[in-house]
Amino acid sequence: MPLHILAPMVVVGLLIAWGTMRWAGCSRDLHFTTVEDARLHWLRHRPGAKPRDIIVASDGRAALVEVASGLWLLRSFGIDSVIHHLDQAQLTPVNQGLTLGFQEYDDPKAKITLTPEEADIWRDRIKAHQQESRND
Amino acid sequence: MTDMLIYPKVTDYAVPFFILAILIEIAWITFKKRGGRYETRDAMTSLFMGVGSVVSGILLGFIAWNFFMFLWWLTPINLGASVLVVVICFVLDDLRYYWVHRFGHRVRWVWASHVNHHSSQHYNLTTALRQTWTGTFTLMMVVRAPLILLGFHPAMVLFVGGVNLIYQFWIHTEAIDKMPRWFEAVMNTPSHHRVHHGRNPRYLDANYAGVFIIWDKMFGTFVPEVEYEKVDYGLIHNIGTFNPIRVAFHEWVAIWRDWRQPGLTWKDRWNYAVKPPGWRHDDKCGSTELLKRRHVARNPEVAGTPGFEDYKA
Repeated sequence: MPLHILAPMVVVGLLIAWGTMRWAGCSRDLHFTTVEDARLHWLRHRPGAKPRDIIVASDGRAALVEVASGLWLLRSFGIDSVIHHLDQAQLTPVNQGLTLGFQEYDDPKAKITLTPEEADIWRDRIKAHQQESRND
Repeated sequence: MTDMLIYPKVTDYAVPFFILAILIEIAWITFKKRGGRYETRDAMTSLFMGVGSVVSGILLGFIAWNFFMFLWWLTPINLGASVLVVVICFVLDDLRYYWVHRFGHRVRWVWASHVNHHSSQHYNLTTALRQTWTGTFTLMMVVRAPLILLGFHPAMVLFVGGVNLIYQFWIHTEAIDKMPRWFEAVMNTPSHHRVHHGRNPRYLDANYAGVFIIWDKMFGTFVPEVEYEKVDYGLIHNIGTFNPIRVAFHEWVAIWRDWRQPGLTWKDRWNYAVKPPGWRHDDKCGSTELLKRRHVARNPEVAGTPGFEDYKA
């Protein structure tokens, strides 16, 4: 098929697909409504690692999860979730929470919205965990 | 031999059908409230990956084409272009697809290219279009060499490969439960391919087929979808980006970073490229076999069930 027909067809197709998904309500974000909800999402990622403690951010889009292997971030990713080990995470305080920098190319940064009180608790927990890891 | 044979580029002609089918699937899921999930950014990432794959083919396709034409020049055999020859070529190319796909999951260098197809946590028709941009770098074109040396024209080999990919489009859906039993026995279906996209230990490294599921049954990699375990889609460690460039290259970057670790031997570096994904020189990560073994240890009742036939409690 000639490129001058294929290219516009693809562009129009992408726009229609995007518009249809917006109209169908496919652009919502996942929120962890309770600690139990966050626990279930965590167990989907790591079925064998039972959480010892979970702190869910007040906006419901992230949680700190402590398991035997250390401290992890569970965060909303579209209507799904992803996890990150926090051993090597770089913390940067920002206006409305924390930015966490990771070494992985497939997920280099996560901005976590937190109240000032939450941000203090999260920062202290993460730093304490990182200190423990260095001592081990 | 250098005689020319021209076939249509079927994947291009299928684009309007792909778009229409995606819209129908979205409408079906929206109105019926079942049959899968769509997420705008995830689906758009998949579609951009599809566009990038076409662009990559335009930019790098000449490498494989020239290699195939060189082989065609070498071979003294020309099987012609009869319908029967095309059908035989299609079946043999599907066998070729099975092995390339299996390498794609068991050799990290090839996985680096194929991983993006599995990087969505969703399973819908857009996932079918989440295709690689870096297939040329895997050098898996060599697996097509026997077909051309046997006398199948390169244009025919690429044509049947295109038809194979179009077939695989419709099986990327949760909207279809099971096909008739005779069809499920011979052909790759949505049910069989859902298993292939599963990250559940039960479903890991199974159902590599393109069109005919018989290859998996022949080579011992078939696992049926079981009612009591819903497929969980995605990777063992899911990626956290919708950026198509990061999706396309993340595993290549990971290999590069593994190679640059201090204290590695050249054998370690070689192994990081050719061993299955998850292999590490320090044994810190887990192979799929280890993940299955751990799962059976935690859930001894699953030993001997589909996907765990070789595992004991």
